[in-house]
Amino acid sequence: MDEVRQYSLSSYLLLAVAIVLSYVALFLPGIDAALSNFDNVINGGTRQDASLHPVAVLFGLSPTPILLYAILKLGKAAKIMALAILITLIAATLI
Amino acid sequence: MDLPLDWGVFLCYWSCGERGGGGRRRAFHPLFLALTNLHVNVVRATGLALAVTTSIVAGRRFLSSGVTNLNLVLFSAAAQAPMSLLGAAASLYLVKALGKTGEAYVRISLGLVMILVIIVMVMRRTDRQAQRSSPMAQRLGLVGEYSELGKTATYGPTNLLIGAFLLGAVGFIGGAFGLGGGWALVPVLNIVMGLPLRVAAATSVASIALGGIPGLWRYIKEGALLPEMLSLVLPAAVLGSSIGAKLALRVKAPVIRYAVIGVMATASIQLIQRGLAGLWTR
Repeated sequence: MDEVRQYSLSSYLLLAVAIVLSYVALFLPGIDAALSNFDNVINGGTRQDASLHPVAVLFGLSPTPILLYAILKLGKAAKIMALAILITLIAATLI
Repeated sequence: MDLPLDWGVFLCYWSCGERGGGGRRRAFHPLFLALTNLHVNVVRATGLALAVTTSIVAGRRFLSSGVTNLNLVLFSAAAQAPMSLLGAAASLYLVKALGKTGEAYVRISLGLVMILVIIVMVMRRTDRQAQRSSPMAQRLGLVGEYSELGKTATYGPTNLLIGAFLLGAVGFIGGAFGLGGGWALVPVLNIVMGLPLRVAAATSVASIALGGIPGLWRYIKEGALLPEMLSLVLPAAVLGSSIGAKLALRVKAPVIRYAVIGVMATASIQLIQRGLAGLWTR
């Protein structure tokens, strides 16, 4: 159970880093640029250059430590189910 | 829709729309899709990101406390994951191929799904008595035990095939609309698969991160998960859930339930109306 806690903590930390980085990404260019970006988003715009934004990628990777834990440490049934999810995840990133 | 109203929706969401985990993020989509000009893909991606965040935060607690086990979470997530990807891909294709018409279809469909959620919320009879688990469940390691009121109770799911099919269907809806799916996962796990309510709720919350992440990746690849939205909405998920949890202790549960149903019903009608208007004015 302690190992589950540690691996789920890795997911938690990845998520926390992604959230902090989202603030950095928003405010690093300056407050005016941040407000302008937000104004664009709230009025229905999307950011074409936002594909595979590092913050979004980090966010998308946050659940993977728990999957890796299941594949490496748990029994056969858990390995198969975790592998199935991981393959789906890889397919989602490649399609 | 002018900017002050959009900001008003954000404030409304911050103050009362978010009440934290356990499938209580239902106000996000109706509020933002019905009342703001935000792009549908951005709303759906942010909604799914919210569900994943709550799932990781709360799932860690549930896994550590032993209310659910990782095999059970993986089973639920494995059934949801491919269908979540399929749902996200299908709805993104709809919006890309049909443009504003596709967006209108998404709004109308979400309005109808929200009405279904309201019906489930009103009619839901939960806490079916736990049944004896199937041999397959024991082979897959889905059986476990947890402590409640000082007593140790065992649990194990039944009807695995029907359950997996229904979990997949919930995953499809979750991916297509960016919903976590807790509103439907708990009844499937509890009523169909015979898990105790507490175990069903914990498994539902913990499995959303793993089951919904392939769908979220489709939105990430479309550039729909924006730091602007994450930085504005995620604090509401954290602060709102803690404030909401305190408020929930003082306000009677039916009052909160009917308030959420009221917001969702109003927003559902608004969603369908905006969707139909989008179809007629194209």
